[in-house]
Amino acid sequence: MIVPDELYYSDTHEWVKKVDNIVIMGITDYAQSELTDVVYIELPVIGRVYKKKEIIATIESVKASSDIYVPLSGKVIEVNEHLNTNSELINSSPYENGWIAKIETDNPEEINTLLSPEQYRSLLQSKGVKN
Amino acid sequence: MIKKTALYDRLNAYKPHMVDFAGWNMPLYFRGIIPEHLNVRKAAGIFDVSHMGKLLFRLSDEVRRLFTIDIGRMTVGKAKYTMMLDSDGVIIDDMIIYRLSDELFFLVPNAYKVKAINERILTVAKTETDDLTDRLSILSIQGPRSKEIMQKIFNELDMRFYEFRILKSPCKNTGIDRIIPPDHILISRTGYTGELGYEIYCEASITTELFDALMESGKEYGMEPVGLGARDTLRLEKGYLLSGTDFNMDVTPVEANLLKYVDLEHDFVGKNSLLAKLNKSHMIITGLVMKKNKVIPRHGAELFVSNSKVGRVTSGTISPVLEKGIALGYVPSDMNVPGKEIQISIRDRLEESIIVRLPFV
Repeated sequence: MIVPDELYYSDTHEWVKKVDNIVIMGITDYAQSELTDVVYIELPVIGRVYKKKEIIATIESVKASSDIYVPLSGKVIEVNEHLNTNSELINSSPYENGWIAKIETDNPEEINTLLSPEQYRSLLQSKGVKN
Repeated sequence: MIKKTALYDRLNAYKPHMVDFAGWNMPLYFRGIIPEHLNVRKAAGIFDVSHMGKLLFRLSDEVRRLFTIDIGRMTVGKAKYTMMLDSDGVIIDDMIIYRLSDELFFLVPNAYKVKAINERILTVAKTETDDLTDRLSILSIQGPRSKEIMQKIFNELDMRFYEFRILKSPCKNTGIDRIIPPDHILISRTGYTGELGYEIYCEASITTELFDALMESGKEYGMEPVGLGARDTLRLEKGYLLSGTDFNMDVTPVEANLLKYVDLEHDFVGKNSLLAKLNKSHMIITGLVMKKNKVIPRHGAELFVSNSKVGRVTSGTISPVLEKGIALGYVPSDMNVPGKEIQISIRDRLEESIIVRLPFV
C-alpha cells in the first residue's frame, strides 16, 4: 500500500495534506482498495463547517457503502467536482486526482493530533496489511 | 489456519486484492470488480474456484434420499444442480452433482458447507465419502470467447449445458485416482456467470501449468483473471442465489423459488415439509431494480409497501451492465408481480424500486 511521506493520516483511513492555512483531504490507498470499485460519492457541502470526525462524505462502492470522516475541523471551501462524473479516480489516484475536499481549518495545531506516515504504516501492519 | 489454493503463487503475481473467504485466502479482485465483470460479459475471464468442496461417494439408497433430485436416475456424463434439505425442508446447501459412472458421484458443495455436507452423507446416509477438496483444483473459464480459448487446448468441447467430458489433458500426470484415467481431466459446461463457460477439475499439482496454458490461449481474446468480487456481481445480475447469503438455514426451495430443481416424484429428506408449504401463501425471492441511479441496496436492507415492512434484501449491488442498483429479496408471494413498486430502506431513506423478472440482464 502506498503511504506518501508528506501527508498526515487519520485512524479511519483519510489523508490530509497541509497547504498554507488550508488542508486537502481524501481517502488512503488502503481505504480505496478495501472499498473496491467506487461507483458514487456524495460530496461535502461547500461553505459548511464540519467538526473533526463528523461524516463529510459517503462513498458507494460495488461491495459497500462507507462514511468518510473529516480528519480536522473547518469549513469546506472546495470539493472535487470531477468525482461526480468520474468517482473511479478515488481508486486510480487516491492521493492526487481522487482528492475529496479542501478545508479551511480554524485550528492549524489540530493537524498534530493526526497520525504520521510511520504511525499510519504501523496501523496498517497491525491490520495484517503487507507492504 | 487459512488455506491457499494451488494457484495462489501464480495469481499473486497479478497483485490481487486478497480476502479470506470460507477458510480460504482468495482474490477479491485484480484490476477491479467492474472491469473484470464487463470483460467476462464481452470476452472471457478465468476464475480459480478451487475452494469449492469436492466429495466423491458411491450410490446407495440412503444417499439418494439426501438430494432433491433422484441422482440414481441421472445419466452418466451429466451434471445437475441440486440441494440438500433438512427434515423441515430448509435448504442446507445447493450444489452441483456429477455422475461419473453407474456407481460413482462427484459432489461440489459450497466451500463453507463442505464439512456439514460430508458429515451428513457419512452419518445420515451411512455412505462413505472421499473428501478431495484439497487435492483437486477447479478453474472456471467463462465468457462468450471461452469456447475458442478452450478449443485451442481441448477437443470435443461440443457439450450441452450441464454435460461433462473426461478429456485428454495437455499436462502430464493429471490422473485423478479412481475418477479419471492418467493424462485426463474433467471438463464441464457449467458456471456461475450466466455466460458460455467451462469448469475444469484437475489435480492440484498441475494447476499452474494448466492455468498458464489457458492464459496463453486466452491472450488474443483478452481473457484475464477474475476475482470473487466479479463472481458475485456476475451471478447476481443473472439472479442466481448464493448459499449463506440468499438462503441461510432459513428458507425452503419454495421461498427460494428453486422448485424446478426439486423432483416431487422422488422420496427425499424434507419432502413432507415442502409439500405442506405448497399452495399456501409464503415469502418468495424476487428481483428488484432501483428506479434512481446511484442508490445501491445491500444485504439486510428492509423492504416496505405503504410504510409496512414486507421483507428484506438478501443480495444487493450495482449492476455493472445496467449501471443501476439491483437486489434479490424476499416478499410475500401475492406481491411478487413484475412492475410492483417496493420501497427499500437504504441509509435511513425509503428508496423506490420495482419488481422485475429474473435474470436482470
